[in-house]
This record gives sequence, C-alpha cells and structure tokens, in this order.
Amino acid sequence: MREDARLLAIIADGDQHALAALYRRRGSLLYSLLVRMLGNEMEAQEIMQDTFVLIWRRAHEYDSGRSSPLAWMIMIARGRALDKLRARSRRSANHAAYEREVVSLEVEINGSRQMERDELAAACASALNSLPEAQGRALQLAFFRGWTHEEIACAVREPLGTVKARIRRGLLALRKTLKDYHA
Amino acid sequence: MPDSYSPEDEAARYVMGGFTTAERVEFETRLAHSAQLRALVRELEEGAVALAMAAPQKRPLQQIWKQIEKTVAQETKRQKIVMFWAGWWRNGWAAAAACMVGWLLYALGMNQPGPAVSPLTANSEAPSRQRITVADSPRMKTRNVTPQTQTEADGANQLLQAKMRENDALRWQVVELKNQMTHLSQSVTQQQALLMESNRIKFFQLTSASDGSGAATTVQQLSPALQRALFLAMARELGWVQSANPTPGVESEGGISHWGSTNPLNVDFVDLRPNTNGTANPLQVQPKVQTQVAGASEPPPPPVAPGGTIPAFSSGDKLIVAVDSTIAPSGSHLTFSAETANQGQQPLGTAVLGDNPLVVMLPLVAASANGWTLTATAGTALGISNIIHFSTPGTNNP
Repeated sequence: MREDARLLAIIADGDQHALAALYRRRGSLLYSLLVRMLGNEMEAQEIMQDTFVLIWRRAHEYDSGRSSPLAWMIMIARGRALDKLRARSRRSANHAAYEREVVSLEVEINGSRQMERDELAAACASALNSLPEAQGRALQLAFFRGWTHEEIACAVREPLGTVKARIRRGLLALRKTLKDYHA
Repeated sequence: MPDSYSPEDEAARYVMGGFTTAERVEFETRLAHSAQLRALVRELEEGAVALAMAAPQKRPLQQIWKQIEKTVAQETKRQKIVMFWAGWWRNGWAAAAACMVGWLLYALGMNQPGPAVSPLTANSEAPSRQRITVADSPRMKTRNVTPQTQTEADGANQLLQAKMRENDALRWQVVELKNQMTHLSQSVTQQQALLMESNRIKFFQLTSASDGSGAATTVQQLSPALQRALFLAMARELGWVQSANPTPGVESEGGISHWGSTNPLNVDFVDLRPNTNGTANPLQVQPKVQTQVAGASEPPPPPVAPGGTIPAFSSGDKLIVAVDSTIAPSGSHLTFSAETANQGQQPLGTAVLGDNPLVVMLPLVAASANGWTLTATAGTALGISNIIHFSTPGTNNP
C-alpha cells in the first residue's frame, strides 16, 4: 500500500514511469475486477484504459487520509464499470433476474477455482465463500453487478434494512480477513 | 436522501456506488468534515478491496498498456503546451502582448480618418489634412450627445465623408489630366526642337497655286513614279545609294552644278544650289533629259493639268523637290525663285522636265525674321503656270 501511495505521488508529478510501475502492480487486480463486473473482456479492456488514464489525470486528487491507494483505484475502476453496466439496459429487479445473476456469479466462481491465485486473493475468495449464502449473494450482486439495496430487497422480497445490514456486515467481514492477513 | 439511512448505511451506499451525483457530492462534503464518517467509509472500502481481490484473476493484454501509454503521452504533450502558455501568461508576457495589440489597434483606429487620399494628390497635401480635420471634428463633437443626436450626427458625418471622397476622386482626376497635359506639352516642345535641328530631314507636301486665288486645293495622291523619285532622292541624301558625282564638265560657269543626270533608275536629278563661292547667278541649266527616241511612234503622254501635290523634303541647307508629268507637262521649263523681305525675289535656276520624274535640289534661303517664299513656275507653249508657292514662317513665329 505504501508503494502504491508513493507511486501515486510521483504520478501526480507527471512521471509516466510511475504509472507503468503502478500498472504492473495493480493492473491484473483491476482488470480482473472489471472482467468480473462486466463479464466481457472487450469492454473490460476499454474500461481498463479509461481507468488508468483517469488515475493519471487525478493522481493529484488522491488523499491518503480518506482512503487507501488501492481502494481509491478500485473505486475509480468500479465507477466506470458501473456506468457501463447502467448504459447497457434497464434491468428488471425481480426474483428471476436475481436468480440468473446469482447463477452467473457462481459459475464464474467455480470456473476460477482451477486458476492459480496468489495467497491474499485466495484468502479473500475463501472469506467470500465462507459468508452466509444470502449475505454473499447480496454483497456480490451489489458490488459486481451494481444492484442497489432497494433492488436486492425487492428481488429477494426482504426488508431493505435487512439487505443493508447484510451488505455492510459482509464488507466488514471481508475487511477483517484482509486485516488478519496483513497482521 | 431518506432519513431512515444511518451513517453506516450511507457509508455503505457510498462505497457500493449507490449514490446519485448530487448525493455523492453532498456526502463527500460531509465526509470532509466528519472523521467518524471517514472512518466508516475507510472500513467498508477495505472490505470492498478484499471483495475485488476475491474476483478470479485475469491478466490484461499487453495492448492495453500500449494504448494507455499512447494516450498519456498525448495528454502530456498537450499539457506541456498548456503549461507553457500558462507560464507565459503568469510571467507577464501575455499582458505585454495584450498592451501591444491594444496600442496597435488604437494607433490604427486613430489613423483611419475615412476619405482615402490618392498619392497623386501629394501637391494638395495641406488641403487633405484640412479635410481630415473637418471629417473628424463632427465625430469628436458627437461623443457626449444623446443617442438620437448621435445617430443623426453619424449620418451627417457619413454623408460628409462620402462627399469628401467624391471630391478627392475628382481632384485626383484633375491632377491626372494635368499630368497628361504636361507630358503632351513636353512631347510637342521636344518635337519642335527636333524639327529645328538643321541636320534632320523634314518632309513637306507642297501644293500648287496656279490660280493664285488662295482657294483650298485638294491634296492628291502622289503618283508611283513621283514616290519612287522621292525615295531615290532620300536614299542618295542619306548615302544609301551611291550618287553620281558631278561631272566637272557639266558644271556651269555660274556655279550651278549639274547634280546628276539621267540614271539607270530613270530619274533625273538637278542641283540648283550655288557653288561654294556663294554666288547664285540665275543660269538656265539644261539637264540631260532622257528622251525616248525609239518610242517616237508611241503617242506622247497626255498633258496633265497642273495642280498635283509636290513632295519635298529639306536636309541641312537643301530643299529637295520632286516633279513629274502629273505636276507639269513634260517638256515644261521649270523656273525656281526665292523671295525674302530683305532681298526681294531672287531666281534660283531653271530646269526642263523630261519624260522622267525630275528631282531638283534647291538652296534653303537663310531664315529671316519674316520668312521666305519659294515659287516655281512651269513654262510651256501654252503659257506659264505656278506649280509651287511655298512660304515658310519667320523665325519670330514659332
């Protein structure tokens, strides 16, 4: 994380080599996230370019007091991907759509289990899989597919507060995994 | 934003990207002033990082980075240009340039009075300057008046300027005409000076004045034989044709030389100028006239009534006249005489016109104040008729 912050500071001074170094460090993570969100490598490549150009342009805006460098970059990439997802078509927030999205997410997870993972990523994936099923599904639908709390609540026919709590607690649980790993 | 959302819920929505743009801006404003909210957001963001790490890993293609590198390089180039101009602006150069441009515009505006003045009116530069002052003054006066008066004044000013421009155009035309007149006058003076040079050949068309009535005579076209005779005389005068030297034997005792004789070109030449001793005794000279003996059986050409145009030219101190049967009948005795106011009439000589054209070389009488008159008569069996009555103006008459 410290290296990411240092590179962002250098990028803010206009150093393209620092941007290349940051790409080598975090490019694979961001690209994986985009492919996971969009389910389409072509679109993921397009958003990947936009993401790093935005990082180049906005590096001077990064505030280490508000967020970590990686979280800041993930928020940029995810924001662009969400714009792309919303531009595709209006989804119908019903149970059938919910089930289809959940199935597609499970297939992707199962397909990726054979792939080589680094230790941290494997720990995160393990933590996500260890979450209660409803919590894990709501969290993934909200994070990877951009479903709002209201849409999820409507699809699963559960109270909004319940959905909010599941998502918040799921994030905190995953954070704990990350914190434990670094500890 | 609904009131039911707790800070934790808002933080979660923010991290998950559930806010609209306006909501996000409003939340970030509160985030900047709330450490508790920032702590909540940071915790949830770390959970989101772990969730992102849980995604199946993919390696981006090398092309993606190349495209990013290219885009960033272009942006850097543009940014450098912007930075250069921004620095240029900050350093005061832009202000200096703006002042310079402003000054130039001001200077151009002040030097644009309206009516264009032709360069040819340089002689009237002072009036032009006066006009500019007049044209500018209404504009200066109307600066502190009401808008309506301003419009009227502008209209009057435009009319005035249009009139001024028209006036300038007319003035320019007058000046141009004056220049043309000056050029023509200079050309005439030059031509007159050239004519006054004695070594230049000057051509005349002498008309006969047989009746002496002074009535206007019609200038007739020269006969081909007469034209040929005159051209031959000119060629001899200019040295283009070798002239026959006067034969000593034919020189008259009175000093009148027999300039030439009938030549292969069938033109007779007679020189009636006095010899070098200055005497000008009137002596009848009989040129060798080519007679057509063999053609005796042919009928003689019919006599032509005098009245034709006689070509002549002067060269130096000579006046050369060409005569043929269109001027006087063949066999006529041509008598030439000059008359001045001081010396009266003086005979120059006599020649007989044969069948060939006759070229007669006469002395030019020294120019006198009152001019002189050349007279030639043709004497035949029928009588005497004037064929030339030519007067030159005096030196007092330019």
